Amino acid sequence: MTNNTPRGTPTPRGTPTPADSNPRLEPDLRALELQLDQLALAERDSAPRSLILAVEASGPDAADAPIPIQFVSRRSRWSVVHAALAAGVLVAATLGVVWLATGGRGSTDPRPLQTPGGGVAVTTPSHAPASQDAMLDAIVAVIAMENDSLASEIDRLLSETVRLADGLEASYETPGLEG
Amino acid sequence: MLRSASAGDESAWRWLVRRYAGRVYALAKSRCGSADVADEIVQSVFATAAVKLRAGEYAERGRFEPWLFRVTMNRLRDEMRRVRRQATPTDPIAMRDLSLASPDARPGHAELSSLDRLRRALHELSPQDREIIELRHHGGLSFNQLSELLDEPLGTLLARHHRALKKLQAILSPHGRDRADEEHDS
Repeated sequence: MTNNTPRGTPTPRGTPTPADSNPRLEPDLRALELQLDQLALAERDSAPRSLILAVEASGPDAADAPIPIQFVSRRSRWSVVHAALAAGVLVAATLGVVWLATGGRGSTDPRPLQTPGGGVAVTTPSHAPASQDAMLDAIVAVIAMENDSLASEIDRLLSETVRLADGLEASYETPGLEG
Repeated sequence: MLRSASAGDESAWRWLVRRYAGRVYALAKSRCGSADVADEIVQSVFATAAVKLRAGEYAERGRFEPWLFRVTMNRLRDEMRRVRRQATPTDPIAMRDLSLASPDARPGHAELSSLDRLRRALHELSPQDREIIELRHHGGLSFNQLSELLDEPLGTLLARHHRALKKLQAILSPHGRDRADEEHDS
C-alpha cells in the first residue's frame, strides 16, 4: 500500500484513535466525539455482507465485467415484481375475455360428431378473430415498454399456445372425410 | 496495493474493498438515511474506482482516500438531487424511509438508545455541520484529508468541527433544540 497520508498527518482514521482528535476540543466534546466514532463503527458494521462480496467480485480484473456490478437493488427488484404482477393481471384478463368471447369452455375445441348419415364430421374450430390477435399484440407491446425480457417470454408462451392449439386441431381432423 | 489492484490482483482489490467499503457505506447511510440507497452508492463508487484503476486513469498519487470520498460525495449529491426531483415517491421502501424521517413518526426520547438519539440529533444539524461530522467520523478522514477534500484550510476545518460538535451537544441536551438555535443565532 502506498502511503496515502500527507506528511505530518496523524494516524489515518480508518479506525478512530484519540491521537487524531481535534486539539481544540474540551473533555465533554471529546466524549461526544468518541460516541460519534461508536456510531460510525456501528454503521460500518451494518454494511450487508452480500454488498461487500458483490463489490469484491467486481474488481478491475473482472474481465469485461458489466459495471455497475451484477447486483439488483431492492428498489429495482420491486419494479420488476410490479411489472410482473401487472403483466400477469393483463394476461389473465385477456384470456378471460377471449374465453367469454368464444362462448365459454370447450366451444373452440374441435369435436368429432356423428352425422345423420352415420359418418363422422369434424367441427372446425374457429381461430381467434383478428381483433383478439390484435389485442394480444397490443398487450405484449405495452409490457415490452416496461420490461423487454418479460415481454419476449410472454410472446414465446403465446406462440407455444398457438402451436399447441394447431396441433390439437390437426389431431382431430379425419382424413377420410375430406372431399 | 493500488498498483497491484490496477494490475488485476484480486487480493489487492479485496483489501481495498474491505478497508473502504464500510466507511463509504456508513457515510452514505448517514447522509441519505436509507440502507438501500447506501448500497447503491457503494456499488457505484467502487464501480467508478474499478473503471479508473483498470483504465490506468487514477492519477491522484498518494491521495486515494480524499479522491474516493470526493466520488462518494458527488454520488450523494446526485442522489439527493434525484430524490428532490421525485416529489411523491411511490416506492414502498422510499415511503418507509420517508415515514421514519417524519417528526411524527419519532419514538419518544426515552425509547431511543444513545446511538439512536445521536443519529437523530445529527439530522437536526445544518447540512454544513453534518457534512464535516459525517466525513470525519463516518468516513474516517483525518483533518488533513478533509482539508484536501473540501479545499479549506486546516484551521477553518478544526473550528468548523468544534462548532458542529457544540451544536450537536446542545441538541442532545435536555433543552436541546432551543439551545442549538440560540448558538446558531449567536
